[in-house]
Amino acid sequence: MSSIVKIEHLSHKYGSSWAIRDINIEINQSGIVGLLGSNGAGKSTTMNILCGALNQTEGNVFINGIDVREEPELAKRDIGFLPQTPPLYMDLTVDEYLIYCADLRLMEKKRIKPALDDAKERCGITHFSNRLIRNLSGGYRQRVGIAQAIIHRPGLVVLDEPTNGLDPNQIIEVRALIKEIAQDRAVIFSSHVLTEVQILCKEIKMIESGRIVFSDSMDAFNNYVEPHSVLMHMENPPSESEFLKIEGATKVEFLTERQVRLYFNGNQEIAEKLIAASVQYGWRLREISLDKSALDEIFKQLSTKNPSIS
Amino acid sequence: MKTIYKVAKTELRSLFYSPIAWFLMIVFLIQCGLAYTYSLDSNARSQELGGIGLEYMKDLTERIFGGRDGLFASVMQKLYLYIPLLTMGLISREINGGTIKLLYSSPVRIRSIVFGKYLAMMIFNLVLVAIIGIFLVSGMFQIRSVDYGMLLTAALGFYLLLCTYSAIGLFMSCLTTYQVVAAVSTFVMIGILSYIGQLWQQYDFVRDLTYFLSLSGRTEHMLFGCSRRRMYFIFC
Repeated sequence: MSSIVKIEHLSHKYGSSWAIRDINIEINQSGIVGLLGSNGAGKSTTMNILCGALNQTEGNVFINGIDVREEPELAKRDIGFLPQTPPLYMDLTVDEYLIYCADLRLMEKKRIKPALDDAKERCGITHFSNRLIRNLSGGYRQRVGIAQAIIHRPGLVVLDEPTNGLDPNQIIEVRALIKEIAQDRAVIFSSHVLTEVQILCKEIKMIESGRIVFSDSMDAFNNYVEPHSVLMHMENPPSESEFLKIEGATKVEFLTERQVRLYFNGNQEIAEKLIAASVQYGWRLREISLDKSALDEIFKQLSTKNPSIS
Repeated sequence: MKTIYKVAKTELRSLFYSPIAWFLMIVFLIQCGLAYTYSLDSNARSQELGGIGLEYMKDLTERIFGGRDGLFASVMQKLYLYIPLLTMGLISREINGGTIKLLYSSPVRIRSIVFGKYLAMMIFNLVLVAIIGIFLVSGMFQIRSVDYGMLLTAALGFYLLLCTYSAIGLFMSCLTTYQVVAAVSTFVMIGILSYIGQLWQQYDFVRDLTYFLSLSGRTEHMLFGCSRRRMYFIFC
């Protein structure tokens, strides 16, 4: 089976400095692939090149085996793209805009009406059909942007930081929408927020300073560096010295009177030992969990893994 | 072709949703009205005075529409002020607003986008010709034995000049993300092409070169019924 997206040795430079260098990505199946990286890492540049909005300096991009540079019209037929700033015409109504987008994607006239209704319904903007885009809130503008990316039912949807600037409720709604879109097509989704990628994606590509520093499944990413701390809630926590008597414990941090973070040296049985000690000494342990915030440490580690390119 | 038409339709829609197109049409209508009535009034006065002035009244169509103080000459002197305001946003607005990424990521050719934008301007230019056409029709009723051929050629020359200015404006709009810069550049470029025919004419090479580039004088020939100059506008 040929891959939906294949990026080979992709490099791009702005002026004299390289924005991305030797990027290789292959996406074979439907689902959400996360492109993670800090601001300025090269995510948007990669996505713009992938969708034909920018011409690369070096390398090749293939969509369904078609070279985007050689046959752009053919390759772009199967792409839906939402750039970081939704490409909206403020003076048009939602319907006018989406019909124009469908026309640009060379849809047959008879297919446009059902596709328009379907896209609006999926994005929850049916009731705003005749409203000017100028008069929509940020969240709904984002939805219109997503609707234009899926109206022609492409095999690949590329979303560049789609939750940027949205309030928490809107973020949840947009995430649910992305999950729904990804049921029957490949979605490439970029973000600099680690938790967002964790929630949505099954595969992760991490870009830092223009290079891929990690490319694997989300599970592999979570296990890349095991968390070295646990969070506990105890009704009757002991003193610091009592905690440090447990084998493998290296440091204790009291977050509140009853909430404690315990650092350990990789000992996998630390949870069992803590539970046993709690029962034995009456610490009244109510809750214990691996400290997920340690994943931010992974992000930091990977971010500094590669020297910057120039 | 379908894409060109769709791009043109959306551009026209954006143009007419903004107040600038309506405002310019109103100003243009007023300017045409003033120029026409001034020309008509001065000729009517000459007629009333009688005497030797009547000798010059035999080419009344030319005097009212094509002469130095005629409608077309008067309107065209200020035409360079209108077109840059319309063309400044054609491409630069797309780049500035980020909608260019929608066009780039769609399966359309760049030339379809450019032709679509230009088609929109050509259609808008027809509206301006229609406005000036009101006064041509009015002239047909007010002038006995009107020279229809001259009026049609003049209208064609006027339209081709509008299209030439639009092409220059579209090109300038591609070069910058700032609409004001695009407008000023168009204004400057039209100015250069209008005056280039008067510079360094003592050198044969420059004279030959500027003869082909110069905008000035091209339309004047068409105002008096000569249509040979239309090739210049087509190549522009």
